Amino acid sequence: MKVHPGHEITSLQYIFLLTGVQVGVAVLSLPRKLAETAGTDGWISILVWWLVSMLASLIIVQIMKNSPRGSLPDWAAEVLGVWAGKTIALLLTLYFCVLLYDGLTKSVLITKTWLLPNTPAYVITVLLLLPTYMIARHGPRIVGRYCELIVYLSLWIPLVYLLPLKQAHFIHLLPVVKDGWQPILTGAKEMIYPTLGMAATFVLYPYLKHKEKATAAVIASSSLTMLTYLFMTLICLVYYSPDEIAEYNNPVISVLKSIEFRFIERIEVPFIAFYLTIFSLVWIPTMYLATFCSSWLFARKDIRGQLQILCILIALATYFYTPTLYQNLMMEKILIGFGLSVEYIFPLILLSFIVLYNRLRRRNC
Amino acid sequence: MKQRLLSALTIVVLVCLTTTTSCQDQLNLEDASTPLAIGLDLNEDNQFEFYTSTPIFSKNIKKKSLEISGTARTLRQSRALQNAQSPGSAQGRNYQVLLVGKRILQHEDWITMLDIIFRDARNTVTDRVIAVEGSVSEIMLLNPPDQPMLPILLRGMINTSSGSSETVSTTAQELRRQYYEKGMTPSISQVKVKDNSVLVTGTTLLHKGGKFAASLGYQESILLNILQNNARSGVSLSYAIPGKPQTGPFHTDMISFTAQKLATKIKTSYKRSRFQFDIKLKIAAALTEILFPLTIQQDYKKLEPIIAEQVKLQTEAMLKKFQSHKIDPVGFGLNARAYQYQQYKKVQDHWTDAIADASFHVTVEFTINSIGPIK
Amino acid sequence: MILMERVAISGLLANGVQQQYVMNRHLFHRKPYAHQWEGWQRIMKLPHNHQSTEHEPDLEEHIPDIIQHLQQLFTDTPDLIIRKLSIVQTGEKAVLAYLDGLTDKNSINNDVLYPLQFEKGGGDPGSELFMTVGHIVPYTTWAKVIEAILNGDSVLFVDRRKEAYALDTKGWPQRAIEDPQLEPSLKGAHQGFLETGSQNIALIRRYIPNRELKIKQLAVGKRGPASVSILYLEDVTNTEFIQLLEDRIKAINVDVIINTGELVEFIEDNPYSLFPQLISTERPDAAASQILQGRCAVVVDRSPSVLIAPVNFMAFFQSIDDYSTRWSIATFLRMLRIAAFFIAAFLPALYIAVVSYHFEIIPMKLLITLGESRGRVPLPPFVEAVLMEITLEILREAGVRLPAPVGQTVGIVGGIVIGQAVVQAGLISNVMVVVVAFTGISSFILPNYDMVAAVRLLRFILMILASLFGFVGIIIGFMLMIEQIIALRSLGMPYGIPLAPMRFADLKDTLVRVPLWLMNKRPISTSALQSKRQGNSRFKGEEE
Repeated sequence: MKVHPGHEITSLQYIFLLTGVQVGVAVLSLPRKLAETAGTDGWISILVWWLVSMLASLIIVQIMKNSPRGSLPDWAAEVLGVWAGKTIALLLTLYFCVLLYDGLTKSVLITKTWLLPNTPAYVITVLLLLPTYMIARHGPRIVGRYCELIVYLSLWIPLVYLLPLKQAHFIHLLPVVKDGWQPILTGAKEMIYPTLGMAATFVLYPYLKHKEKATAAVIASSSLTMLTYLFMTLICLVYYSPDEIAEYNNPVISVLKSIEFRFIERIEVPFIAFYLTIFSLVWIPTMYLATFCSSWLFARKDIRGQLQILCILIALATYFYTPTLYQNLMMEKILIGFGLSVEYIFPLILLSFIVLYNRLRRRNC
Repeated sequence: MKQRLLSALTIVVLVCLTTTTSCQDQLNLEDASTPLAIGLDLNEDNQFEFYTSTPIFSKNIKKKSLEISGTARTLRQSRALQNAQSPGSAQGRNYQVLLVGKRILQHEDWITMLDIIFRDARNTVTDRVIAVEGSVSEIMLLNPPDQPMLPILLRGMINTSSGSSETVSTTAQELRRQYYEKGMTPSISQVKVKDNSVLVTGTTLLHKGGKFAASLGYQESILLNILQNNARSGVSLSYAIPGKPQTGPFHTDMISFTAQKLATKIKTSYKRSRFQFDIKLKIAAALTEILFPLTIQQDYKKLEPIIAEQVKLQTEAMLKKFQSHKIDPVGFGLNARAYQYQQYKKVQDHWTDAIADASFHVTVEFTINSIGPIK
Repeated sequence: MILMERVAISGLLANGVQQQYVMNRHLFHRKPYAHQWEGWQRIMKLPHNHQSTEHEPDLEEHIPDIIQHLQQLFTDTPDLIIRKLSIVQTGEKAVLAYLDGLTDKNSINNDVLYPLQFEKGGGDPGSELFMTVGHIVPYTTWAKVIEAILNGDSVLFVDRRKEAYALDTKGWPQRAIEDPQLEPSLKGAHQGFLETGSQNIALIRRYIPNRELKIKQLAVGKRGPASVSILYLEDVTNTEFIQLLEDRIKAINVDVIINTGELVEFIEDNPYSLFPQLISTERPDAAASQILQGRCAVVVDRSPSVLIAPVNFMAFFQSIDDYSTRWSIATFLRMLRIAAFFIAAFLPALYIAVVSYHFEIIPMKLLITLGESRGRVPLPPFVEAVLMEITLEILREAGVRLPAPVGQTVGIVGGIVIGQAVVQAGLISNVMVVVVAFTGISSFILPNYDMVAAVRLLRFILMILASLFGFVGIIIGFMLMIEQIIALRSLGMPYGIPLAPMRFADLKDTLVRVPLWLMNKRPISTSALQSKRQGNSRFKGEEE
């Protein structure tokens, strides 16, 4: 599938798209998970994993530099044969579908918990799929624009998070490195799930307007992601007692409950509604990416057919079977394994293969 | 054409789907009954009792609120009783105050009864928790005709009192934090009914498990807030200066000041197998009331250490009180954790024993900033 | 294949072209009349209607034949005047035909009939005739002659000549230039467009007296071709826009275009979207400033509004007054308008969502007052809101349709009905009245009528969503709205520019309006060929 002119995305859009897929729903529970393993030093784990994830995204970019005009399946089909391409396309389709489904069900569950407890899950799913379909059908450029706009529109959110600081106890953070480095390093594994989404580069790289800036862009995007995580985690750590923080499923939302304004008693209610737009930064791009890969698999030019099928499938799936909170956690575990292999291990293997391959070819020449 | 037909069909299906299944969460404000105050108490047989006060949305009815009470096993279970007695569906979304009766406070772990407040995401967690000296029913059924509705009244009283630090302003969320935090014990506001009117009487201090431990008066509450670094400038303290004469029934030996700058520094150390806290209070104040003759230009140098000594004495007495009750409402445990982590870790599960054993050194630095427009 | 015919001047195009013609002559000193053909050909396209299919000369030479033919062509046309006369200058017989009412009587009497009949000194029969009319075009076909007559020219047939002369004596009923009705301005010009295309072009040209201001003229409509002129700056405007616009206008195949609004329906990018994708303005200064920014203006003859293309979403929040007031207040007004857009679209929906789903966010004191006023109302919030919003729409529509003095009465009655009576009757809660009043006022401060119309519809959609799903519904509506803004195109340009895709440089004139001397470049969103529009214009301040 060659890139059509007029579908390129800018570096900023690319940065925000990657960050959006990563941050989206993952940020909500991150402070709890980090606190569970690393206690109040959880924020150091973020810095540790920052380096790892940046390395992983750089590897992915390095791979994609071999294929400036086609996605990863295109490259695989060209170099390794059609079936290799199909395998990779299938793998990516599955991966993005899981990512999409996880993000979507998490959003639905959160909406149900906080805003619409009695509305059936499938209605909320259909409701959320509506804008998803509308936006994803336009292709990468519009998806990129959407991510960019939403990021700009949510720039006020950090300001809201500064309000709970009135009741913050910065003393919670002391002493730094409380129980040695062991818990911090174990805590770093909690960062796998919140960094998933870098694989988008496999598909989006050919659409980049300035491919030479791709390296800088992924560094910027992973830094932005980590900055967001660091900010949110620190806010939660200084607000909640270290003995209590593990009790909250989504401390990032719960922390807002204590904010009082004179004109609006409970800020978290409109906030969670607005947060849906940020959640959508997970499922809208992955929806596009999944259908891109599946269209590639079935050699379809237009993704709309696949998009419609996928939307209907998801709607039907949630109608007959709504995942519970526990099942969602199970799915998260599966996703962590899947993501670790697709985004961290697989690129490493692929890159070493490419290096070897190029060297062999050069020798043969 | 086919495309358009298809999309039209999709829209129709969607519309049907949504309209038939939605609206299940719809609950119009006027159909709901939104209690603004909830009270918990035990009756003589130690049965759990609840009280709620709900505003009535009608202009024609003279009494503005509806009080509901009953005995139930849990708060959630009480919802059925509430529904049975109120005109709308009872919702816990708008609580302003949460009253706890004295009999409840004689038992441990009553805070777990509040689980629904945190678990039902639609409930508010910013309601102020207030201990009642006496029974909750007394205050709930008071309904003085010359005062605003009870929840509004109580919330207003707590807001102004805690604004001048004369009590603490503990929300349900904050109570939960203090309850779970190993390094401190909870403290909540305290009210009582006197001569058919409600008044704030200071702060109730609780044991780690939530049992009643001690009460603090206004001035002690201010000191507690100062120690917690919660007091804003503007808090006012009064002391009797020893050696000054009293004339008749009037306390003419009193001096009052308004703190303009407050700084509390707590230094934590671990010496001789006990925690040691060096507390340094820095108060810069404006004298607001002097009832004895004083030539300030000469005397203020002398006066400053005298007042500082008074503050110190009261603070030390209060800390002694904490220690004798084995409570730590200030949260010295947080300091211990931050600066003496290894030692704290050993005792964190019975921190209150450690605090009873700890030693405190209070130093107060007092400076007079101004004396007002008269000498 | 009607299009590529040889060019001739039809009366309907004449006025606008005349000016160009006069200017060209002035600039290039090209004298001979016939040479001008090439010049016109570049500028104009023929109206593609059935009449122009015949291009063989078919005019009769004898006067009686001509009169008979004319009478055959124009049966039941009492306003056709056929005046026989003999020309003193050459001694020839002639006939003057014109439509009464479309022509200027003075001009015919004084400039045509008088010199022909009373001024001597001409040459032999067949030589040039002296008339004091500026624009004279010879025609050899009936098709052209008919067109000329129908468009207000008078046509002079001279015995034994193979050509007839179309004389520019147009003069139809026309109103005077007035203040624009829909877009009044405080400090801007007080001239609005008229119903005559050529005049409108002249009004724009007054602001841009520049040779680079080019006009592409097309005719749209078969039965009553209207001249549609695309105005643009040749060295600034991106040629893609002109090409697209031209192609789209050429594709229109209708009887007649009465108004600009009809043209819009045929050429806008996405007809299903709620949002307007082209601005139609009735202010010449606004049109001129848009042209200077690198956009095209489309003047439709017989319509008092001019289209601007391409535009973006944020352009609907700009008003020409922004540039004539000081930048700080202009910035404030911009933000106010953006806020008003959101209030007008979202406030009733928010009210519904809060009252029927999320009343926990209402502060305690407001809760009691709101509860008291809601408690008396028998209607659910959604019905209450829809009822009031529809009342507002009815009142607004009534105010538009009625003559101004009566309209005011309706406003007062409506105000009392909305403000007082419904609340006292216990039909509507008083907070709802505040909400309706707020949305009403907010929608009035948006400068563009089409955007206001979009907001009105948007509001109802959001209200339905809010009544079904509370805040979640509103957010879904918001996301769909964003989808529209980012995915729409106006003449191929992204509609969301400069917000999505973000063009930081353009924010200078979007969310804020920085001082003019800081805007040295044309907006990126028009992708102009020449981006610099001014140099440093601010004087250097004295050293302090």
